[in-house]
This record gives sequence, structure tokens and C-alpha cells, in this order.
Amino acid sequence: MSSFDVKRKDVESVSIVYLKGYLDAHTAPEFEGALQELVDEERVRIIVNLAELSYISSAGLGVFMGFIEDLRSKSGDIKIVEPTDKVFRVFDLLGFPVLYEIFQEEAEAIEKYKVS
Amino acid sequence: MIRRRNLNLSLIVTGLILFIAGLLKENAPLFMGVPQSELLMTTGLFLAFAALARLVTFQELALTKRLGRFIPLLLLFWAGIVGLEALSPWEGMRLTALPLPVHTAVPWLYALLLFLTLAVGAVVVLIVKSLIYVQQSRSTSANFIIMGAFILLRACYFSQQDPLGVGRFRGWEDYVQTAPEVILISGLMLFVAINGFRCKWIHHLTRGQKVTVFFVGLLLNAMAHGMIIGAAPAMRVVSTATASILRDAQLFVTLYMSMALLGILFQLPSAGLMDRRMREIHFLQGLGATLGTVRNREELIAKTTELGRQVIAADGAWLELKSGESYWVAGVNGLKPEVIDKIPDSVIESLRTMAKTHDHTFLINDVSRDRRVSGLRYHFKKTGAILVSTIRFKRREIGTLYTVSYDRFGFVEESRGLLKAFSDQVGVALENMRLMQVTIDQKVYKEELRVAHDAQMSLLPQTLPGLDAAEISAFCETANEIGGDFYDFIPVGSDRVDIIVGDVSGKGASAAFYMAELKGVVQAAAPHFQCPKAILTEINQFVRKHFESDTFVTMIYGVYNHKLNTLELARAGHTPMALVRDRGVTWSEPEGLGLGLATNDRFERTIKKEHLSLEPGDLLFFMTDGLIEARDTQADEFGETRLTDILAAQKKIEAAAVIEDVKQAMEAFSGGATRHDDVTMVALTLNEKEEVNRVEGESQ
Repeated sequence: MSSFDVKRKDVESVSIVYLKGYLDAHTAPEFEGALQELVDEERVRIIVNLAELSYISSAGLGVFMGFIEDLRSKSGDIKIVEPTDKVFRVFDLLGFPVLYEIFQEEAEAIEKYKVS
Repeated sequence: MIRRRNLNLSLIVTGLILFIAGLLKENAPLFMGVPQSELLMTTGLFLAFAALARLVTFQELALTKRLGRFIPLLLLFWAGIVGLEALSPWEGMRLTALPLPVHTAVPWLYALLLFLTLAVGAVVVLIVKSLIYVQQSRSTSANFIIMGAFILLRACYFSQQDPLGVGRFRGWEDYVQTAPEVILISGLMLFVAINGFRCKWIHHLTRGQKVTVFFVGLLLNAMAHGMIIGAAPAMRVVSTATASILRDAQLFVTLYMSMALLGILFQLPSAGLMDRRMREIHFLQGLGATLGTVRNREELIAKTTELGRQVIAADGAWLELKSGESYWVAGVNGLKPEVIDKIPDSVIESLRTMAKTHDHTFLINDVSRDRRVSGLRYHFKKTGAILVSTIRFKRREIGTLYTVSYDRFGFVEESRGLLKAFSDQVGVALENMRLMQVTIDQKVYKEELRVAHDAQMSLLPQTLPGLDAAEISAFCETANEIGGDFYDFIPVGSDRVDIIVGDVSGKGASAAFYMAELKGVVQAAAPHFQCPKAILTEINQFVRKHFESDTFVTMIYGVYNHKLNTLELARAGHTPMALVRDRGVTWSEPEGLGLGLATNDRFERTIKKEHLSLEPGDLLFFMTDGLIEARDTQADEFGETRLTDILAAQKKIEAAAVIEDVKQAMEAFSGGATRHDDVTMVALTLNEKEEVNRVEGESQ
């Protein structure tokens, strides 16, 4: 019923993961797989673009949690860009803005990586 | 079977002895006008025919049952024939014409004898009829009846002829003296011939039966030729019509038996092969039923090797099943398991592969001369031929069946097809067994989940705290059997009740375990702190330390003081709480990170507390995100706005009624769509002042 899709784009040292559709307990492993692939390739500067993500459940949020500490210890990060209002609301309730950098534009996040 | 065979044999032997005795008494004295030899031969013939009938039809001809009907009918028929004779210019039933005085003395005895002879003839014809009717076609019955009609017509005709006519019934030329005689005999011969070709029953005989029937039949035919009852001069003189019937019956039986014997003779060389085919066909037919009755997997595997070995008469068989990418020997029949263990994997693998690539069966007729399996011969010396078949279900490989014969060329090409057909049936049976097991497993799993669900539900407060000035109601429904939502009410001291609603991330078993753990942690922490911030910080520490890194918990924690009518509220990433007052809804959303997301320092720095002074008539509504994220069939969400409207519209502030209202609205909204998250609601309503007074007034 719920469709989900993960796409990836590499911009120099930064990898952008595009999520689309419903990210819930059923589809979270797909997202997890995509992040794991990046970690395996030692691409730790990750941007997750949520422009087309219509729903995120706690299991989906858990995927961010599962990777963030490992990535940061390797001086990488996950930056979240272009969340819809609805998805941002979920992030906001949970306090994600405190923990993750969230940008309205993908370019801003890439820029942020470049300067650091 | 043995008893039946013995009876047949004794019938045949007795018949034969009687017949031979009759033959030997060639010039025997007459018994009531009939030579004793004829009587003996007739009786012997009848017994032998009865044996043949039993042998061929595999069942008692229900003659004894039919005799009650048959004898009167025959008697009536015979009376008619004899009556016709009486109408003839010649003297009917001319017992007086008999040359011997004994017959004149007891004429009725001779008449009885005559009738019995006719009955014997009729019975013999009926036996042959039952043979003719095996696998009858549309015309079978008609042909037989027409032949009977010709016999009858001839009897009618001869009833009007001179019984003492010179040379009648002596030889072939006697039949064709006049035009009606020519017509009648031609018609009779034609239909005797047509019926004579109806010998399909011989196909159904086993090889042994064919041999027996052939020799018995040969004897019978010789006996029938010798049988002259129909032409016995004395009988002819007494009743021309009866004699005619018996003569014709004899003609037919003799001809028919000759045809049948010829048929059997030609089939005898291939009878063994035919038998084998029949056995195989029967075997395969019964196989589905046999495999269907097997109740468990072990039995099915044992049956497969046993039947597989039988079906192609192999000396040994073993079954290998595939699980994942590996293969394992599941069952062995007729061989020692050690023998199979000794065969190198490479040989087995090449056999398996060759079967798969050769239309799923592979036959090696002479193992000693085949290089592809040279290793097999070395480790398994007795092998002469090997036949391998892949077991599949809908093109999916399930396993492999190996059969060996100790003889070189022990299998014929047909064995291949046979084993393949067998393997297909086994494939279906194994698949059925697997599906059955899956169903059982699912049932067991569901039952276990139900138990888990009950256990989890029992962790939620079973009784709601009774408060003087307030009412509490709660609702929790999991999306699956077990979930991660929970709520709790913890009374601390005399004037404080903590209201907790939480949600463990993820779903299913792990979330449920964490939830159970959390309940204990919250219960333990609550009495030690006054401030909900401190309690949540404590729990954050626990979650960080003990839960998986990708698991987090959201929780809203309210410390309700029912003496002061205050609520201290802290929120750890959880869905906000609604305060409904005078039909206005205010969402309380103090800052706070989800539990387990950040270190304790950071958590403590971020979390805020909200202080609420409550008034009578207030409604506090806690929930988990499952409520506002409940979807309808179009995947639209229930949403905060819809909830806000429902809460604002509450007229009667009563906790249970509020929960019921929201629940109904949510269910009406989702309209049968699958629930994808747990839903929890807790409502606290503060009694109106008047009501409080009234209750107090009553209690005083």
C-alpha cells in the first residue's frame, strides 16, 4: 500500500539521499541499507532530502538515530533538508532540530559541508 | 484369494473328472432315455463353466439370487415352445413315441430332465453373456438380443417340423434344406460371429489368469464339442424345439470360446508386460490417495522412498531434500545409510545436475561403463543401473529421488517416465505438507502473540485511580498483537497521581519488551522526584544506557496534584497534551527531546516544564501519535485539527465519554483502513464544582 523509494546522488564528498513516500517500520530497512552502503564506502557526509517524503514513523526516525553517532565519530554528519511541514512537525516534536541541522535548501547544506 | 483359487480349481477338476467319466462310459446304459455318459459330460461342462465365470468376472455371478426369477421365466418360455409344438401337425411332447418303456412309465420325470438340460444350456449362455458384456458398447446388448431372437425363431420353426424327419440334425446340410432354414441359419451365424468378437474381458486378465483360462477354455471347448445333449436323439424326438435351442446354444458357446481362446493365445507372450503396465497404472492411481493420507513429514519421506523403489522395482532408493541452497538425505529405503554417505558429493552433485538438465530424470543403465559416475561404482560396488529424478513443485526444485538397481539395465526406458510421474506426485505431497506446517506454525505463532498481547495489556493499569474530584479514563489499542504504546498512573503519596503516556519507537516484539522494561523504570523513579523533568531525565539515562541506539522513546509526564488542582507537565518528544476549558482547546507542548536521543546533559539542558492550574470542568487529553496519524482508506491522516474540533465540541465533560467520542470519530474516519500504529488515549476530567459539592454533601 505505502510506497517508498530511496535515491542517491553524490556531489563531490557529499552524498545526498532522496527519500520518497512513506518511511515506516516496513520501509525503514531500505533507508537503513542506503545509509549503510554510504558508511561502507566511507562516505560520511550525508544529506537526507525529505522534499518528497510524505510520512515518517518512529521506526524511520530510529534509522537517523542508529547512524548519527557512528557518523559523527568519523567526523561526518547527517543533515536534513527540505522537509515538508508535516514531516518537520514530527521532527520538531521529537526535538530533532536540537540534534540535527535542518535546512530549507539542499544547497545550503552542501555549502555547510564545504566550509567545514 | 487362496480360497477362491482353490474353489475354482476344484470346480474345474470335478468337472473334468465327470466329463472324462462320461466319455469313458461311451456305451453306458440309458438313464431315463439319456445315456448316462451325456449326463455326466453335461454336468462336468457346467461345473467347469462356473469356475471359468468366477475366474473371469472376479465375482460370483449372482445366479443363485437370480434363479428365483430365472427358473419360472425359463419354464414359461419352455411351456410356450412346447405349446407351439402341440399346435404342429405332429404330436407335441411325444413321450409316448419314446422307444423305452421307462419313459412311458414316468413321463414327467423325463420332462423335468429335459427342462433341466435346457436350464443348464441357458446358464452357460448367460455366463458367456456376462463375458460379452464386459466393456459393453451401445450395440453389444442389441447384438446379443438379436442372436437370441434368431435362436428363438429357429426353435419356433423347428417346433413345426417333423421330429422324426430323416437325417435332421445330423450334419451341416441338415440346416439348409429349405429357404426359411437358410435364412434363419445365416442370421444366426452372422450374429454368433458378431458376438464372438466381443472378447474384451481377456484384456483384464493377469498373466496367470490368462494361462489358466486358456487351458481351462481349451478343455471346455473340447467338452462342448463332445456335448451332444442338444442333438441327443431321444430329446429330439420328444421336443424338436428344445433340441434346437440347445443345439444353437452349443454352436454359439463353442464358437465364442474358440474366438476367446485364440485371443488369449495371441496375447500370452506379451501378457507379462501388460501385467506390469497394469500394475504401474494402478500404482500411480492409488498413489495420490496413499500420499494424501500421510500425516507427517517423516512418514511422507519414508513412504516416498518405499513407493519410489516399488514403482520401478528398484533395489534401493533415497530421497534428498533441498533446504536453501544445500541438500540433505532425508530418507533411505533398501540401502544402508552409510552406503550413501560414502558416495562422494561430486558424484551426487553431477547426478543431480544431470537429472535437472535432462528433463528432470536421468538414467544410467550401466554404471560400470559410464565415466560420469565412475566414483559411484567405486564406492558403491553393487550398483548396476541408477535412475535419478528431480522432485519439483511448479518448477521449483524441492529435492531429488535416487533409485538404484543392482542389475545392469535393471531399468527400462519406461521406468523414467514412471519415476517422473511419481516424483511429480511426491512434489505435490511435499508441498502440501509444507503448507500445512506453515499453517500450523502460523496458528501457534498467532496464539503466542495473543498470549504476549494479553501479557502486555496486563501491564497497563487494570484499575483506574479513584479520585474525589476527578475522573480518569484510558484506551489503548495496538496495531499488531503487541505494540510499543503504554500509559500508567502512579499514585505517589496522598495527593499526587502521576499520569504517563509513552511510545517506544518501532513496532512489535522489541518495542513491547522495552515498554515492559520502561514501566518498571518509571514506577521505580516516580517516588524519588517531585519534578517531571527530573524523572524524564532519569529515564533518558536508562534508555541511553540499555536500549539499542536506534530505539528511542517519547513520553509525556504529568504530575497531577489533586489537592492543589495543579499539573506539572514535561514532555520528552511526545505528542502534546490538550487542555480543554470552556470549549477552548490549548495544546501544551513544553520543549523536550525524545528519550534516548541525546546525552543526559543535553537532555537536561533542553527539557522544559509547564505548570498548569486546573479548574473544575477542565479536560486533560493525552495521546500518542497513532491517534492523529490514523489514516483513512485514502491515506489521509486524522490530524490535530479534527481532534481539536472533537475535543472542543464536548458538552458533557466526562472522561470515559470523551474517550468513546474520540474513538468513534477515529474509527468512523479510518473506515476500515488498516491501523498502522498503536493508539493510546488518556483523559482526565475535573468534576464541576456543584457536582463536587453534591458528592461531598451525599457522603456527609
